[in-house]
Amino acid sequence: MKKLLRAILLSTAVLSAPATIGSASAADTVALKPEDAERALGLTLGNLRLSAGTSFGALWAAGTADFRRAAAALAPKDVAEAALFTDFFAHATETYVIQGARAISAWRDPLTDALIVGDWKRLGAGWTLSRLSMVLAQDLAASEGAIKPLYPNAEVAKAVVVRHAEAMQAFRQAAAQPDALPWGAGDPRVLRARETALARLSAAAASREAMAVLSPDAERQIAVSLIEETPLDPAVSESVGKTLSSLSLETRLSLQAIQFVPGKGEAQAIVQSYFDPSRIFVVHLSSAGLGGAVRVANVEAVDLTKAE
Amino acid sequence: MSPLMLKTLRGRSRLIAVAIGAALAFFSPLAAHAADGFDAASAESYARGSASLDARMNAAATAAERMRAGLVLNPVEFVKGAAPVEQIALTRALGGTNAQSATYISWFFRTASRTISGDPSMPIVTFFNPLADAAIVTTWRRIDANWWLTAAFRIDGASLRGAAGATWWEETDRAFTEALADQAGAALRAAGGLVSPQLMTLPEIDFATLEARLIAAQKSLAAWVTDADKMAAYDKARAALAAAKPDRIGLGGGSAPTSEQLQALSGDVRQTLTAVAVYQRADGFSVALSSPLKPELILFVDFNGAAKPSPVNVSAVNLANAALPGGRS
Repeated sequence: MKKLLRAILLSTAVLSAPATIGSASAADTVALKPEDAERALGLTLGNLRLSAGTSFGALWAAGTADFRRAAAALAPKDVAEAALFTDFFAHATETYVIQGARAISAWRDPLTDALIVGDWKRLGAGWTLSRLSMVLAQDLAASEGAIKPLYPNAEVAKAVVVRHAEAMQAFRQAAAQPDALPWGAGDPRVLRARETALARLSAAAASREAMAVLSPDAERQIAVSLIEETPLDPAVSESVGKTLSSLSLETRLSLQAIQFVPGKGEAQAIVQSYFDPSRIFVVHLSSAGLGGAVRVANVEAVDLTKAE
Repeated sequence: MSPLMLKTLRGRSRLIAVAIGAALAFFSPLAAHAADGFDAASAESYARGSASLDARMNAAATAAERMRAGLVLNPVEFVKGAAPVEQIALTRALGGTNAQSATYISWFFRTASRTISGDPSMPIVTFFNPLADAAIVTTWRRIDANWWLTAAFRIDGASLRGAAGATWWEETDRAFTEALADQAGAALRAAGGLVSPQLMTLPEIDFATLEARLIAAQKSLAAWVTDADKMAAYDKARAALAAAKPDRIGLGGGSAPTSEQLQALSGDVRQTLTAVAVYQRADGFSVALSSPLKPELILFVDFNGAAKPSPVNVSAVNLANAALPGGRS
């Protein structure tokens, strides 16, 4: 943990670490106001996501025995899968619907359009996970045939917003009838979600690997535009610059490309921070000559919270 | 990129690289001439992002020196006026700044030598104080066209050298200057090669140990300056060195820096030479002098143990030379 803290300190230089994002304990107080219950669930989800986005070992350590039992069905089969699941949580935003003493939660990764859904029971001041499953957003109501492409055209930023809005709407509707969600590990919808999510995460990792070889300078150019020279960079509009400067320093310094998508005469980088995955920046890269040199031509900012 | 580099990729990564490469037209030798949309502003932006690594490191070093100046002149005010992230980093490494700690912090930075190392995207600037045998290792990031201090760590000289043992002032079998040049040189060489992953594992020196060293240096000075005879002897020696005339106090020859060598120092450096620590020897005292304008140079004036002390020797340690591979002062 000491090493993790120092790693975070080094990369982001801020003292708050995932471990300091509080978690709710079931053994706490008895009388709980609705807003406290909501806060406790939000903290628990945030804590688990940050742990999972660090490593699966950290998630297992952070979760209670109940959590580990409920999550066992989704446990990665090997190290490679564990790394992809870690990516999933690092990208994911969380949401939940509370119905009395029961809550349905979802972590949604924009690169997969899959949701890891949880069924929670309130216990004292905290929440206990009773079931955990995975489903594609398009399958939340019922299995929907052919898998929809994530980016149907070159408008990646628009697709990210539209898919998120659709997924959140579908989740809220599905959460109203939680027992209709696919909870069984052998459910075809669960198997399809797992297979699709892993394939998409694998493709995202492959795109990063490909770009690192094709244009080793791409990450650096993205950092120059989004972090280092933002106010002076003509590729960054004033409004995007303001959005960037409004981010916490830990979020800003940990922005990184999570996927590269080829487009018309350009590549688009989807950039996000593990600390605030609701903020996505789509960076348009165009060729700047031989040797894989690229330049940032434009940056679009997406706020997923506004798409919900 | 050469299409040959694609051979280094396999499977899906290779397909994606081909797709991205095709989109960006990297594979065409005409790509260099395809200047669609590449206007002057874009060129400027690209040039800025591609600034030479040396230029980046120099800029980071300049920002670090600006911080050092602030911490030497008035640590309390400097920390108060720093950005929140810098305050967090400094407070973490140095503790709270108040009137008492300000004295130690100022002393630490005015007598510390600087090295810069690491990845240009996150340069590491180390301020190594040879008289405390400890370093404040800082990391810097460029954000919104400015360099920011983002983290700071307290590292013991022994940890940097990777070898425990007596510190130079505790050694009894060789001269201060030799032991100092040896140990500080090794620490500075190590600091000059520091990379970020090392900062994950280098143990930090605890506050109490560092504070004890800083207090010892301050106390050694206090005991000297309150003795009128010792101060008179020191003032005379300092004036002779500032005037680059060591022979004025009978200290020419031997290993002493010559008048020409002292003349080679700028007048500002010589005029700002000040006693920074006093070390007791079996047969007297050695006063260490340095200038904040050239902290890598430390002059030792040895005085005899008489009630009215006289200088018996002067010697110099240039840590810039000592830090060179196999270097000596």
